[in-house]
Amino acid sequence: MANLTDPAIDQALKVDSWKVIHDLRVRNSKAVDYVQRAVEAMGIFEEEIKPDSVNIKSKVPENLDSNNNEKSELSDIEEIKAKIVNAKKLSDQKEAGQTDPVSKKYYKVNADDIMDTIDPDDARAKIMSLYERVNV
Amino acid sequence: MINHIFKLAETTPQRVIDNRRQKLRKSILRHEAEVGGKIFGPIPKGVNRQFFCLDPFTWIWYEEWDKLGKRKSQMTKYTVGTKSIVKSQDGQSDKMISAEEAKRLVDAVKTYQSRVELEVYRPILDVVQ
Repeated sequence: MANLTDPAIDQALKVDSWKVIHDLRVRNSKAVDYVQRAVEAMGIFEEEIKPDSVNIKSKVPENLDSNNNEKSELSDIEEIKAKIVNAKKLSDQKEAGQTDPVSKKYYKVNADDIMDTIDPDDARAKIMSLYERVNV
Repeated sequence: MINHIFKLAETTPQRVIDNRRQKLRKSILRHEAEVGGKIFGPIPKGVNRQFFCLDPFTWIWYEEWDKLGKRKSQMTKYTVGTKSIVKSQDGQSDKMISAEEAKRLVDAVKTYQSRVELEVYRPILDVVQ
């Protein structure tokens, strides 16, 4: 007959007790999760979640928010466009002989600012062309 | 002889471990059910209320009370599916729970988990650590 006071059995019982406790806690977590998922799938909470009440965006890191990245790219393009338009305007003013009303100097395009933000080759060429035309 | 063999089987190391496991599990579940019964507010005198997680997909609400000297009881079982939750009472046919009941069930199971962690598992862990 097995010796029930064997230390190995005591150890096994101890380890097994931990497993029972662990399994029950995991089971509880899963059970709560399944209830929440089922209720969400039933669509019960959808009407309660309104954009005004929950700021989901604030919980999403910027680099994981694809919409935010897209917006950022769009705003960069808009900025480049604005700079091109501005450069073109300055170029036209230069050609027309207009000067800055304060400094009385010819308008100048800040080429460094523009070049820092523009990557596409065609935009670069366009800006360079305008830059060369404006700068004396 | 057969009795002797059975007796021997019950006292093998694995059997001892299995029995101990079952005993501990039952004890914890009983404690969980008691804690679960208290999450809905004060329990009237003479009423035995239990609420517990039977398995990851089943929640049980059990209530026992006296009525005209007779002991009455009611068991409500919530079965959780992937897209629905149904309940049956005292073995009657399953029916889908209402939105209102589903919301209350979500609140109840969340409270249950936090309460049993606090009142059942933490004391065990505190003793051992």
